[in-house]
Amino acid sequence: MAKPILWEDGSDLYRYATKQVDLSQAKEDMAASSLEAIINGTATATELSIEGGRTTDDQSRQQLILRIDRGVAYFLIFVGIVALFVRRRSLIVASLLLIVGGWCVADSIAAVLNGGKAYSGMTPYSLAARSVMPFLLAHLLLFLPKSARVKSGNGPSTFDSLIRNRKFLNVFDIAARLALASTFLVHGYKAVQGHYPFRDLINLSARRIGLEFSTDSLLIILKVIGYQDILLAVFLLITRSRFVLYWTAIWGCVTAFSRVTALGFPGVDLWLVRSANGGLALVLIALYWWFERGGNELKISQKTPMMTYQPL
Amino acid sequence: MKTTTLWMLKLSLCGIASLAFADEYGDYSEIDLEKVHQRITTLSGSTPAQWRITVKEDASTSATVSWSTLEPEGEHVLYYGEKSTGGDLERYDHKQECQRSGLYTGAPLKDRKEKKSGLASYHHAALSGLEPDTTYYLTMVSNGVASREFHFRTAPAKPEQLILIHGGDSRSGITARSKVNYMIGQMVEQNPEIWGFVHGGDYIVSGKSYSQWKAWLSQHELTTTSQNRIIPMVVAKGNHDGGPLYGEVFDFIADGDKQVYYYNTTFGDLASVITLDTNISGTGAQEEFLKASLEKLRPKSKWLFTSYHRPLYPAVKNMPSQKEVFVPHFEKHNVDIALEADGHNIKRTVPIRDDKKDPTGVVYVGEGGLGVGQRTPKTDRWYTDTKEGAFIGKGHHVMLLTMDRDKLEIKSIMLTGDVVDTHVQKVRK
Repeated sequence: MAKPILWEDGSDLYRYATKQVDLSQAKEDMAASSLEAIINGTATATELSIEGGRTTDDQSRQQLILRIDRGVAYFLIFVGIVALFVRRRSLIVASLLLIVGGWCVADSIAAVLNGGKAYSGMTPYSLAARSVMPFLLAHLLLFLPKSARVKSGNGPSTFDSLIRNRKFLNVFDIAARLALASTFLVHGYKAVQGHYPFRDLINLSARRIGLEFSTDSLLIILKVIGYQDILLAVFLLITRSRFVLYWTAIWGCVTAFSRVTALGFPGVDLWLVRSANGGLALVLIALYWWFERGGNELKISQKTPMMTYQPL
Repeated sequence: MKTTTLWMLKLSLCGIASLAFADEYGDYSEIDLEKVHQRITTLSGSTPAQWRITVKEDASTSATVSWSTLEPEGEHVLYYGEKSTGGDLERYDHKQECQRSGLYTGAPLKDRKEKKSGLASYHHAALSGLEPDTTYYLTMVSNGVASREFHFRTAPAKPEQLILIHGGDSRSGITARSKVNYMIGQMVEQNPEIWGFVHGGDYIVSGKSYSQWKAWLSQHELTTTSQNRIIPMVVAKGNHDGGPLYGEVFDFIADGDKQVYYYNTTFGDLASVITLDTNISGTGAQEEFLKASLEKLRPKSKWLFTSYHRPLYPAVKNMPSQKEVFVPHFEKHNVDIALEADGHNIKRTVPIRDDKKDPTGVVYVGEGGLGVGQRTPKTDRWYTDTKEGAFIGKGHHVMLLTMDRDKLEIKSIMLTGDVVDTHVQKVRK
């Protein structure tokens, strides 16, 4: 889940914060109103000189923000690695994941505030899957038994006991479906509109196998892709079909990996950061699978009490 | 004795050289903005204000003269000719009624500033069939109200030399923007051989805000010299320039149901600038345009430039998808210099071919400092490795591109007048 922002141009939060420093140094609001008065011919002597304009760069504050952003990047990578190995309830790791989730949400809101990109106003919705993922993982960790081990061999495991908790499963399921539907809905809308990076992803990927699409063909392909994304989002919300989850998982992985097929190695980080788009559906499939398996084992355990789950 | 004399001679030569260097460009970082802003024309009634000239075809025979008025009423006419008439409209040789006029599209009504200030109108007079290498004098007239007389120069049909200013990102830093614009005007005043200004995009923060465009347009007046010379612009669209206002400000006409912002500007057989749009797909129609332009322009241009907003070899940001599309064509057709913006720093890469340093490759320069706050360029990218001859830095600046039939020189000139980087390259054989 850790966004490899060290490879990129810094987070949106970083850009937002540095812009605020810029604006505060330049006293942009004051300068803007002074300039407005100058253009309208109503400026006073003070307004004519636009007092308070920036004359020097405040490097230190900008540098501090950059360091914080880099620090957050390392923190995200650290939490991502730790989360891979945690198998039992851990309030600390869950808290770290909640921070990561909060950061993801804040970063997507900063993208809206920064603007300058097509559909930037929809960023929190298009990134919902990756923002929700850390919260769900934290939720999962909080529901794990305090002290348990993943059992190998026969008998119910930690996860078996966990997914028997209907409340947990329902919360997880609803949140994951909403997030996935939001992500696919926005991506679908962008595709129907012919969003240009999608066109390049298709064309550049196709070129690797010697295919070339005209603009008209691309727009048709994108429309088809877009409408199926929207359809997928609707199905995610109205059905609990396993087939829809498989479809989401495969399609999410394919579209995320298209960054690599189009851009090669520079697209690896763009692929990884989108792993939640297919990954979240895979998690749901796994949970249902565990749920069904757990149910079977529950039946067995009723017959053979020796196999019931015992916390350590 | 001989050695001492030689050293003294060397030292005095260095002294003279450094003095000349220091005096070449003034320091505009601390100028008195009160005086500068008095030059801005009040936007009231039908008084022509916010003038600008753009060139999107042959720079020796065409130009579009544009201006704004607060009131939309009346006829909007450009009077022009090869002789100065001091504003006497009767004595101008030519007269061109504006082909396009209209109200600037306003921002959403919730923007209270928009309501308060009211919306102005744009007027575009597209000129063609101009004489090459000629100074044209012009007066804009709206509803019977005339501007003062301005002038601009068309490029020669076969230029021996061409000087352009390049910059990008004037989107924030209102005071710095005024200073940089004034500096550009002063540079043109001191060196009248400077022909025009290539802007790499991101003029304002929000392309849909008329109040921001209004400020930019009025501040652009500061690039006009004290002798009323307007320098033409070759404009590229930035990621902050979304919405209809960009087309209204720079007169981009819709091609069918679509507006395209990629085009070619030619300077005889000396140079061509292919302006691209990094806000749309690199593939498809734009790629076809690029391929056709390169095939047509490379054989007949000594210097071939591309200009666009988002850097393909960025010093701060990550690479855009257009890199995979544009770069192979740039390299195939031996583009000389790619002019970039968006990153908010100063950058000159090593020459690049096949993602490696190669003396026959393309040099990418930019990345914008016409007012916007500057970012620190990354030091871990091979193509901006200073040990390999690249340059990275930060600060408000412009780039001065001076070319003749043998060589091209690019100087990065700071607002303080310091030249922080000079790059020279020979024409391709």
